[in-house]
Formats: sequence, structure tokens, C-alpha cells
Amino acid sequence: MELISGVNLKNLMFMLKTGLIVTIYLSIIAITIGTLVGSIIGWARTIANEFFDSIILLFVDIIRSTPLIIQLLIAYHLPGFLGINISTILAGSIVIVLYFAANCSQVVKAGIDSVTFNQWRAAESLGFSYFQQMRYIILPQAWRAMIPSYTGFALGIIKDTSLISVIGVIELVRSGQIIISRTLNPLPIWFVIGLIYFIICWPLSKMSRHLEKKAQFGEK
Amino acid sequence: MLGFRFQPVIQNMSFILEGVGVTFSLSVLGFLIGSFIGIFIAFGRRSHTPLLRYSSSAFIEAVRNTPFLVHVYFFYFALGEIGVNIPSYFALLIALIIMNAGYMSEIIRGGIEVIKTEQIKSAEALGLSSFQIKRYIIIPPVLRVVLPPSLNQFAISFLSSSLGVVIGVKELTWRADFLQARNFLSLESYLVAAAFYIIIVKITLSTSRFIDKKVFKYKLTDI
Amino acid sequence: MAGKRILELKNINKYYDNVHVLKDINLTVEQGDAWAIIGPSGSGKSTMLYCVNSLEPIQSGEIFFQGKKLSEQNKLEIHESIGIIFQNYNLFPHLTVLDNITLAPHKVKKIPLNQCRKKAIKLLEKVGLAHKKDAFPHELSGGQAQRIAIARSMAMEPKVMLYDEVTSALDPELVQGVLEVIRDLVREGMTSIIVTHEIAFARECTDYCIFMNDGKVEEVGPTKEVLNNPKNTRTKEFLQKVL
Repeated sequence: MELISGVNLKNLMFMLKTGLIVTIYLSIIAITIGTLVGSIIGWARTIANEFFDSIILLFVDIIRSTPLIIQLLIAYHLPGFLGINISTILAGSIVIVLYFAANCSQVVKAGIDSVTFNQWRAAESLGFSYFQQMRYIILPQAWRAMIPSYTGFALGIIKDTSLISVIGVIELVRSGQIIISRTLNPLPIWFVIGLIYFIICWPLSKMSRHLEKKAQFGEK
Repeated sequence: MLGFRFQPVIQNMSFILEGVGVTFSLSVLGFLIGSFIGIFIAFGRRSHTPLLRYSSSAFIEAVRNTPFLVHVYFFYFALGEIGVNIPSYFALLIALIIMNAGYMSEIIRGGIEVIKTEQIKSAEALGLSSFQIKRYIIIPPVLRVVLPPSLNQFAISFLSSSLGVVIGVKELTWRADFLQARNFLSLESYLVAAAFYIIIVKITLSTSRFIDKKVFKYKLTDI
Repeated sequence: MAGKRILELKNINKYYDNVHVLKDINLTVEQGDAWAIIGPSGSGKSTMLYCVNSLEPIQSGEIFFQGKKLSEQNKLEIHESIGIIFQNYNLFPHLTVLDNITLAPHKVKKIPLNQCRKKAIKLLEKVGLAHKKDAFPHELSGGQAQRIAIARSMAMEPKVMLYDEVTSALDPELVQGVLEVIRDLVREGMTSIIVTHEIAFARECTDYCIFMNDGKVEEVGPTKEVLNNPKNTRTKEFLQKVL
């Protein structure tokens, strides 16, 4: 069965099995590890003294201000330069994780900072330790402020995994390009690639908007 | 130092700077034209006509839920198939315009929603002219809401132009890539290019912070 | 007044950056006493309270609570024994009224939750807001929120209560409700230090009064004397402006 030239079940299954799987895999790795690393960095920035804070901020800024594609290109060549032998997908994954972690750290720091100092004061006056303050009073309020930006970045990183195709890793975009090289029919395949991304991302973006609304209700 | 050899890269600085120029032209044009189109889409999104509302939403959702890389490839390769052969520069520009339109429309919509008819009515009742109302009552709050995210979006657009390298647009990243292929100095070329991006993005975001602090000292409250 | 010394401030000096905000403060509070602190804005009244409660550090001088000197080590003990109410109540917006009150006793003093809840409801009844136990702070009026804040602090069974201009941010008609609660607590013997602009309330409710100006204690003595026959010129000027 062939809908339009090139869009048949065999090709579709190829794109999904070989391509989409990797995209999803990369996204999950980026979001889970990136959130963990980013949260620690973001939190560290809230308790660090000015000196360490500016150093961390410097690294975070550089990662966020450099195009992801340049970071991936560097990741492609750097191992060879340093004499380390790691696979391209590992190098690319590390870059993507760090990129997401950098953005996450900003979100976390901004979220914690958004809780007014008065809340800290009230909590301290009741005898809570620092960790109790964070756990019961500060973080429950902070995460509501984090949701919009966080979900935005998470959605963004799912789309950004497509860039790893440029350094040769086979994910959704690359798998589509492989089919195009065979069928020489780009239009329908690019359309399908976009459609698959849309099918994954759109529900997630709707969910995040719903979460945003829920987090606001019942807030002061 | 450290085995880095920046000298060959510095020698090609004019080549790189040309790339910076191309990157600038793409991002600025893409941002401005995209914002212009975004205005219409923002109004379309708020329209009472269902057709306009749904098609604007559809456009925004389509742009926001698909990767920019796919847009770039699409306009270069896919359109080529139906006989529309676009040079790589314009394919990237169109992709940038569309992306900016999609994101700026939401930012502009946020600005539209800040305008409160009650404030305009009070201003009219006080005898302010139409021009004065625009200048003092409408534009300041709108700019306050719209300017920071717009500068942020410009920075994103600037960084996104780097994808031109995949379709051969001779922008900054392409030039760094070209040099590294010739000189085998990958790290140095990419780092120099990265430095340009970082500087421009930092300037953009610092400007945003500066404007926020100096110009918009007041807070928007519901009066 | 007979009673053991519960709080002593000796030669307290505090600086914010380079500004000398508390200058040689001395104060002795006996158990059961109610103290009023009056004075113009910026005179250091709130700052002094925060130092007593160990929320703000002091650069020189000593503070003694129940005979023990305040230091980093006994900060927790201080927080458990001294309660403070802020001008803008600072309730936790993400928790219900009941949870606001039970959180500290449960997590800090490790009292079982149902016990905390029972105590919380008793306190809510005392301040007249038992029916609001499942409400969220943003649903309360200022006066209600302030009374909940008092209940929240009382849940920790403090020995001293500090009040930092707790009615200044309230609409006039809500002020009396809060003052009544404070009055009841004072009558029940709670050692209280009340920073306030409500001179009539100070006169009615407190035993001693301090007038602070520019970080210094300008006048101190029994409330009736300070308010009716102020000896210090600045105290007189202030009272004339305010009354």
C-alpha cells in the first residue's frame, strides 16, 4: 500500500523503528539526566557565594549562548583531538544532556529565587531547618514558577535532538533522509517527519499548558 | 598553548566576518519580517471568525511543535520537488521568517492583551488626543510586556540561523565548518564562531536586562 | 513586677552594611510582661525583634533567653520557644489554613499529626476561625490571615511572642479583631513584645513601653508613665504627632 510515492508501510516502519526510537531515547536521556544535573546546578547557585556563582553562570551562559549545532560539531571532533575513543552518539548525547541541564539550571534558580524572602523568614522563625524549609515551604512554591519554562525547554530538547543527525547519528530526521536517498522523493517524507514530531510534541505542549493552569489555581 | 593554533583561523578573519554579516542579515530580516507577519497572526488568533482563529492556531502549533531543522530541510529540498527551486539562503530565510512569525505572534498577543479599554476611556475622558493616548497610555505597558521576550526571541533566531550550515548557506557556522575541513583545525574554527555567537547573544540579553531596569522601573499592576 | 527574667538584651549593636541600625540596646523582660515598642519608621524596632528571634545577626552585645546566651547552637531552641508575627503574615500560600498551623509542630517538634490537628482546631476556635480550616490563605481577609498567623505561631507553644506591627497593613475595620486576640494572649500571661502604632492599644494592654528613635532606646518605663508623662523631648514630639 502506498499513499504517495515513498510513503509506504515499509518505509514508515523503518523511520519509526530506526529513527523515532532513537529520538525518543535521546529525549528521555536528555530530560532525565539533564533535569537532575540542572537542578543540582540551579540549586547550588542559590546557596553559592558570588565567586562560585559567577563561575557556574559563566559555563551555563556559554552553553546556552552557543548554537547547539556548533556544540555538536565540536563534540564530533573533540574526542579525536583529545585521543579519546567514544562513539558519536555518546558524544552527541553528552552535549544534548549538558545543553538541557544548562537551561534547566536557569529555570530552577529562577524558580527558587521567585519565592519571596518573607517565606524563608517565616519558615525559619518556626524552627524549620534549611532542608525542611526547602522541602515543605520553598520548593512547593518554586516548582509552580518553574513549570512554564521547564516544559518549554523539555519540548524544545525533543525537537533539538534532530540536530544530532548532522553529525551522522541515525534518528528520525536521518532515517527520513536515508529513505529520501532511495526514493528521491523528498516532499512526502519531510511532511511525514514533521507530522511524526507534531504527533509527539503537540499533546505534550497541551499537557504542559494544562499543568500551568492547574498550578496557578489556589495560589496567592 | 594547549596545542591550539588560532593563527590560521585569525588569518581567515575576513572570511569569518563575512559569515557574521550573512548571519546578521538572516536573523534580522527573519526576525523583522517574521514579527510583522506575527502581528497579523496574533490578531487572527483573537479574531471572532472561527476560520481565522483556527488557521492562526494551526499555524502556530505547527511551527512550535516541529523542529526548525525540519523546516529548513523542507523549504530547501521538499519545495524543490514541486519545481520551486529556492536558493539555500532564501530557504533558510523563509524558515526563519516562519519560525519568528510563530513565536512572535504569541508574544505580540501578550502585548495586545495588556491594553485595557478602561484606561483608554479614562484617557479620552481626560482630553488626551489619540496620538497622546497611543504614546503615553498604550505603548509603554505594551513595550514593557513585549520587549524582553522579543529580544529573547531574536537571540534564539540568531542562534537558529546556524542551521544554514546543513543546506550550504554561507553563514558563520558554515564558514567555521568550511575552514575546519580545510585546515583540520576543528576546535579552533568552531570556538571562534562560538565566540561571535556568544558575544552577540550576551549583548542582546544584556540590552534586555538594561532596558528592563532603566526604562521600565514601574510594575504593571491592576489599578 | 515579680517574675523570672526571660529575655535580656545587653549592649546590642547591629550594622546593616555600614549603617548603624541598633545602638547600645539594653532591655530586660520578665516572664508574663507585655512590652510595647513605639517609635517612628526606620528607628530599628523591627530589626530589634528580628535579633531577639535570632533571624538577624548582631555584631556586638549579648542576648540571653532564659539565662542562656543566644548563639548558632541554640537557634533551633529559640525558634521553637519564641514566636514572631510579621506585618504581612507570611502564611504559606500552597497550604490550607490547617496545614499551615500543623506543619511546624509536626515536622519540627515531631508531634504526631492527629495531635497537631486537634491542637490546631482548638487554636482556630480561640481566634474564631475554625470554619476556615480548609481554606487557602488567598481566600482570607488580612485580619483573618493575621489571626491564623498568630495561631500558627501559638501551635509551637512559645514562651515569648513577638509582634512586628501586625496591624499596620490591615484595613481599619479588621484591626480590632487582631488586637483582641493579642489582648487575650497577654491576659493569659504570654510574655509579649509588641511593636505597634496603636497607642491606645499599647496603653490598655502593655505593662512597659519603649520609645525607640534612630536605633536608640530614648525612653523606657511603665507604659502609663511613658505615654502619659513622657520625659524625653523626642518622645513627646512623636506622641504629639501620633495622637
